Amino acid sequence: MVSLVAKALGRSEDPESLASSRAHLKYLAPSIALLLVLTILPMLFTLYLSTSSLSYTSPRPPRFIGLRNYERLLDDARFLKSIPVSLLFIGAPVVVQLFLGFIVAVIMNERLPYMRWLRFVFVAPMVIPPIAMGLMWRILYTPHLGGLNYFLGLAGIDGPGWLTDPNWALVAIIMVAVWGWTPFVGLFFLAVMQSIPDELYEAGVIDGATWVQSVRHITLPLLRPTFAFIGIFRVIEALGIFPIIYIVTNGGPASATETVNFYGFVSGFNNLRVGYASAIIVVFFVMLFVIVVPAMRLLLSYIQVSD
Amino acid sequence: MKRRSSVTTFSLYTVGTLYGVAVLFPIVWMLMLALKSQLDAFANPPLLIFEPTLEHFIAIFGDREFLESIANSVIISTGSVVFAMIFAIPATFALTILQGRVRRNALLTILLIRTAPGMIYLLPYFVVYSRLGMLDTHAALIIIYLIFNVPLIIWTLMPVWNAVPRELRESGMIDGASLWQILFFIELPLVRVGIIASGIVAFLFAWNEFLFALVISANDSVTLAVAITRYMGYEGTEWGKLAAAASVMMLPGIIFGFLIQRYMVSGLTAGAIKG
Repeated sequence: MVSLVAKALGRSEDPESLASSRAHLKYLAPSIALLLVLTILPMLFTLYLSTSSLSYTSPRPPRFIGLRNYERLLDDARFLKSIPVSLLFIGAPVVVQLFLGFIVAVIMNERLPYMRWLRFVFVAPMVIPPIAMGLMWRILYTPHLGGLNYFLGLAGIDGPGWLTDPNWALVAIIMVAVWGWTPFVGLFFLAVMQSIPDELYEAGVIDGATWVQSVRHITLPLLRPTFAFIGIFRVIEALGIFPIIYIVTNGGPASATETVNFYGFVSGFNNLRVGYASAIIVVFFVMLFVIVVPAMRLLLSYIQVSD
Repeated sequence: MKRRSSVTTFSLYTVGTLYGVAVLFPIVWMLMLALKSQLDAFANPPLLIFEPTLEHFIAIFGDREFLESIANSVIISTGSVVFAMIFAIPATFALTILQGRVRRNALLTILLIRTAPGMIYLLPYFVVYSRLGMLDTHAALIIIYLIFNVPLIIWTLMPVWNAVPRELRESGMIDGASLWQILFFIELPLVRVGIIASGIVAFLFAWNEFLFALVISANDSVTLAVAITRYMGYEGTEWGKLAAAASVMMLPGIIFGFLIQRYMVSGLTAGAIKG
């Protein structure tokens, strides 16, 4: 009905005048203004704090110390170590999520009889709060309580000390990230797969393609842009695993799983050195900016092309 | 459709089932822990069959601080959704018409802010709120959550609103309606499903948020996400209560999440897959 009314009335007007209508700007402006005020001001304030000696444990009033905080960062082994950890937590889970997500999507895309039920299971982690996710895995990794190593033992594998061995603690965090965000990747792939017309597969069948061949030569090539798109998106969001790190390892053992932002948090709120923590956050922001802005432009170009 | 040999079908079932088990295992294990007595929890080898007890649920629902934290989470999440809607609805309305550089820059800004980790704003908000005496208030978190929920709502709502024919607005203007009238009386009723879905997405964001809640809220406004971690005290972790509390916290996500599953990815896919 609505579209009928629209069709009856709408065609004669020049749509250009409406599209460029400045009247709409004042509907957009409050949101943009609000967001800029709530984000740009704090960022500038962080920049200012990073040049101060502000510390809630020091009795002396804060003063301007220039770039001293940044100079200290260069000698701070704990900070320097947090950079590769951040990069690992950005890169490793995304690769595994893309791989597993594709497989999950292929399975969901087949019309198997009990797939409707399995699909509910597959996407379950999407609705679980990160803090609960972290907790589940913290429980699993805890000796006796979680039984993960007990079940590995049944399979003949001698389970490592997940939370006590620095290297396995890194793996432990990556596993949670993979478990938690693969469903999102899979669901995304599935949405794209479902837009592939059946005729393509039918043509493949006529040419004698097996199932594996049609996945490899039809589905996979058509999904290549999606791999890039979702990969970028996950990279951008990968550092949002703060609650996972906080709950599962709390940055340990011996700060082995501390990312740059986690160390910033520890400096600011555990050690209460606000000025120093601000400098860490500024460095973190620069890192992010270098990675995110080009990625974001790429991301947006995918969206722009199609609407 | 593709031709599938029986070997392929069998492999798909096997891999699918294995993955399903891997997904369910941590969830089920935690739920079981929530229903185990302290003694059973640490049994070696782990007990798969045990006598379930509700003692941990009874304990947490008798805990005043826990109940208050649920109330705080509801107040803060609802408040942030309502205020975010006031900004996001008109903005989405405008973005469905605007084109060119304005639209592009607005979308880029919104997307940047939507994905930027909260850590970069955390310290200044803490310092400013402590000077203003606003630490540990509901308003403090509601304001901060606008940063994430306004973009989140715009992003989720836009694909739904894009489906409303543009001619509707043109014809409304020809009939002499103001843009406000068109927004409220013509288009808003048409996108109400999108409003509900994006409202739920935003509610769940605030409900789940941990970082700001951890730093900004302490006693009077402590949220559920933070209250849960208090069971990981210095005198030893109360695992049963912890598991029970986390199970309670998962409820809104499970109830609402499946309803709006489609919209949780549509914000991205709708733009990305057409054409």
